[in-house]
Amino acid sequence: MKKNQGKKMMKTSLARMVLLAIAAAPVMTYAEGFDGSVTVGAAQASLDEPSAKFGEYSGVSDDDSWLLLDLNLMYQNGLTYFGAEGSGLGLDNRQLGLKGGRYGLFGLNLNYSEIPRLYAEDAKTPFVGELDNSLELPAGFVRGATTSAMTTLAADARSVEIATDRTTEDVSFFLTPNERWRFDFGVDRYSVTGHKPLGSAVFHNASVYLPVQVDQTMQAIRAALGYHTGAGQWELRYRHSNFTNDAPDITWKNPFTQVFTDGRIDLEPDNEQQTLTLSGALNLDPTTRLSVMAERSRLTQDDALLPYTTGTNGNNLSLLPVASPDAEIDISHLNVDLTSRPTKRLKINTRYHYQKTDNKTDSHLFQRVRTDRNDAPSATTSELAIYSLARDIAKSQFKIDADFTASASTSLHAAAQREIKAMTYRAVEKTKETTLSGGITQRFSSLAQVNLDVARARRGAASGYDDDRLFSSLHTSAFLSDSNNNTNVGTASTNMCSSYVGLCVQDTFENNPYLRQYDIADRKRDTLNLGVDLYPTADVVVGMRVRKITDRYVGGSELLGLRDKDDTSATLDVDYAPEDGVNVFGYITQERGSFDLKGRQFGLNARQGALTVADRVLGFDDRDLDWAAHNKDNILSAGLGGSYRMFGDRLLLKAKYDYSKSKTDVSYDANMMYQVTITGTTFSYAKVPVTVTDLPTVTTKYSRLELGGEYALQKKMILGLGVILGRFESYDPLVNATDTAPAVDAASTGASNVLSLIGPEDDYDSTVWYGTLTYKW
Amino acid sequence: MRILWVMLVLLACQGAWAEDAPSYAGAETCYKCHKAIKQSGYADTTHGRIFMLNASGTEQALGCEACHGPAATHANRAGEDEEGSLYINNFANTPENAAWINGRCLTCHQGKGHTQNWEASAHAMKGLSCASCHTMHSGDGKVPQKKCESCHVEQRAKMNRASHMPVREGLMGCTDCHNPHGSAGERSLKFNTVNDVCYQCHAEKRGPFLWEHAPVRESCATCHDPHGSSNISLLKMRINTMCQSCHQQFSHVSDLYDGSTTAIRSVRNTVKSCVNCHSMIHGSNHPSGAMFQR
Repeated sequence: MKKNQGKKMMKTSLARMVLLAIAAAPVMTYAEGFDGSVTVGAAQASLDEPSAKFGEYSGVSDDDSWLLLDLNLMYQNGLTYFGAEGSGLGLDNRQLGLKGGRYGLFGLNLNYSEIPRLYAEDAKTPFVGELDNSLELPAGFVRGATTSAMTTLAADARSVEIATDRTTEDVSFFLTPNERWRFDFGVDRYSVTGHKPLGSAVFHNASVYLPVQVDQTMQAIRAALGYHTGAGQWELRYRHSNFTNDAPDITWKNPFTQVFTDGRIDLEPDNEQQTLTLSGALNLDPTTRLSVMAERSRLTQDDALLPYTTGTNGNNLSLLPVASPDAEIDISHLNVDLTSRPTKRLKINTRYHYQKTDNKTDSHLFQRVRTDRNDAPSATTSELAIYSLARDIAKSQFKIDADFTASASTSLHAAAQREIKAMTYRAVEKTKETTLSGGITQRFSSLAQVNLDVARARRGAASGYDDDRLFSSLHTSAFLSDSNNNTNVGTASTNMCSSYVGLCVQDTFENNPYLRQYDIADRKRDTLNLGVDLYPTADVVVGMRVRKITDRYVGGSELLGLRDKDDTSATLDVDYAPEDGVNVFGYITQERGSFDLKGRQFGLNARQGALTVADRVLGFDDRDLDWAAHNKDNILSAGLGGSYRMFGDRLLLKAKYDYSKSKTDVSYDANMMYQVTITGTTFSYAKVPVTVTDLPTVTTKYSRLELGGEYALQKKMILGLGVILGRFESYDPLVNATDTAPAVDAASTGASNVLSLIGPEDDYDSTVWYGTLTYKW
Repeated sequence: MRILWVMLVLLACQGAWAEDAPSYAGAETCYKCHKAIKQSGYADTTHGRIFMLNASGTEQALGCEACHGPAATHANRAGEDEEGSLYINNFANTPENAAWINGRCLTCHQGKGHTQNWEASAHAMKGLSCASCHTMHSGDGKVPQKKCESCHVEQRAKMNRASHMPVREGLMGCTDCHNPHGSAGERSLKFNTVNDVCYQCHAEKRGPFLWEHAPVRESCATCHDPHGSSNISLLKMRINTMCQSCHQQFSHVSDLYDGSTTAIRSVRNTVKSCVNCHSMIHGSNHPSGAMFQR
């Protein structure tokens, strides 16, 4: 209901704005001070097959024709102005802005925009009804342990639209009553409605993609008061926004036979944010400027919680420690910039930035239930019973930057930065990173310029890497002190602590202790940027850019996680403008990236089944089970285009071509793996030599060629014609696996335990013809 | 005789002084030669309107000379020699001229909130001037996307990747997220952090959640590349690789998912890999949602 009201309000607002613009146009047309243009036309698209990718942000996914309507109108009379600017008004991604006011005194802006988002052209699901917050299976639907066993799936699968519409409205007003004061006020609102795909866990070996209803709104109000003199300026700014989700959760019937019949997901909760910012700057003297910003922001959320499970034994809100999380995060920022020119040739900037994210949410013990099974809340001695943790982050950064003009043709640049980040409940308490950089810009008369910048950064943990920091905070003391814990092990009576001193649960880990999470791991980063600009003649510019970033995660060859990462890109740009009205440009960018990920299997094998305790506990250090994935990305992007004016500027011909092709190759190394065989509900394992298979090359390819022309029929009337040829291809074996259907193309899957909703991204070959008539004032 | 000499010297000095004193020519004089600027509609620009019709102070009321300075000498000597331009404030966008140009513009524009951090900005520290991006004599002062792309070539290339925000469709622009004039935040973002920028359009992701995912709260850019990616959802890596970079726990999380048929068709590898089940990866509010499955 609210969704429809919101959408109706939006459409009404747009209609009013368009009517206002159209009504104002004739009046303005005959008024002195009027200028601008209106473009009216039509476009026709034809595709080899329907494609959501083609219409990803336009809403046009199949053969279609639509009205082209763009406008850019401005009326100025003395200091008074009124303007309207619109684009794509005949499509679902229309944007319209109106503005008016008096120069130097006040202004009013109204903006409206829509952005569609298509996820799939041929989505299929067995769920019936309106696809609201309760998804039902059709009568007679045969549930199964795999999609293949769902024998009615093919017949029951139906096509559904998986797409969202984003509508944004923004109204802002400013007043400058005199030279020194400025007041700003604005309100903005966006809403997103439709359906999106969302995965949902069924069991450890099955998942269902749900067509989840989206009905979200964000509304904000903001105000600012500014004051400035020649010596300095101050501004106080406030923003309050609240987010409302009118589809707060979704329940669904499980098409699989495993574990439970009714699933439930809690979708994004309503939330609120308030931000108060005070900023100011002072020109301490003609060469020194101090700029300061202090901000305090508060995020809150207090949505009522759902029960632990839909299953009868845990479906009771009284079992929860709290009815709602009463969550609050306070975020503080302080930024100080001091910029100075001690001499005419030297400029120095020092910056200090401090940021603190203070999570004030109370921590509670939640006795979780895995999936929506019938279980009662987990015992406090169980690993499932864990505390919700309020994580804090504090970051301080100090940077000094200097630019020195050594001569008319040479500039030198140097910078040093120190960043300290402190975190709670992570494997390191604090990281420190120091970055040193330097560069030179050398000009060679008016013919060439070379820039070279290098940087070296070193990040390290201030304390040791210890995943126990998280583990021991998450779990109950009852769990941590129970030597017979880890209930999934058949040999529960074995006392691990006494058998394996130092490896008992009190001193254990959430992750493999050899893993280093890449965002906090010790790292050496080297960066090189080289730019060369050539001006061989007055009408030719050639630019070359090379960028290389090398990351080395340090600490020893036995460590796991991201290890070596290299990214290189090289670009060549050419721009040629031999005379007025003639321009040709082109560029090509080649990017290559590679990284290695090291892993060690100690998972399912070590956790469940008939392994010995030694296997289980020492599994994390069994290097027989090491594996590595080597990723290589190769991406080529290119563009070519130009424009040519002829017949005394009456005819303009233009062409533009964009091309992008990406290839990802992933190869693997592994010697041994535990392999699991599932027979019914019985698992059996064996540690066997393996031959791994490299991933088939993953590719995407996009190209777009636009050829067009404009002919001035009269001085003020321009005829435009053009064609756009587009192509998109992609191949990803992991996604394309869903296309090998035993039953239904998208809704079923060759990967028999994922009931998918949308298949691979749609390839397309498209042709769009367009014709326009533009009138200019 | 001595008095005569003194008078002559004084007269000479007076002449020289008179020539050096500021002397304005007026906009109409400028237009006599700079016809193209008049034709390009300078008078209808915001600058033109304010200077001509609502000048704050006598300097702005001078029109062209408000920025270019007294132009009488320039006008009088125009055509005499190629050095004529030396007699006027020259906005030629050269590196050595950048600081002067910026100072001139900031005389009026520094008081505006969005330019407060210009002096400390990456662009200013790189020696760019206002004239590097803006044209003053026509248009509405907006800078076309192409201008940003001319230097930020990697970002230009990323816009054409399969997973992208609607920038190449013209529905978003660089300045929706960045303030090229500098800011108090990182990477010249319009807000203090990457997350604050993302929350402007993705408020559903800001929580706070009952179960927070640490790197999500720290920065969306830990996993996403907002400029474009060949991986789905603007991810920096393929999903399973991304997740296993930080998670190699007990259970299936540390398994190898290679290119074999079995692995490809595993529920943990196909479609969206880990996110098939851990779909509330940005945070969960479900009491059993600590693993972001609900």
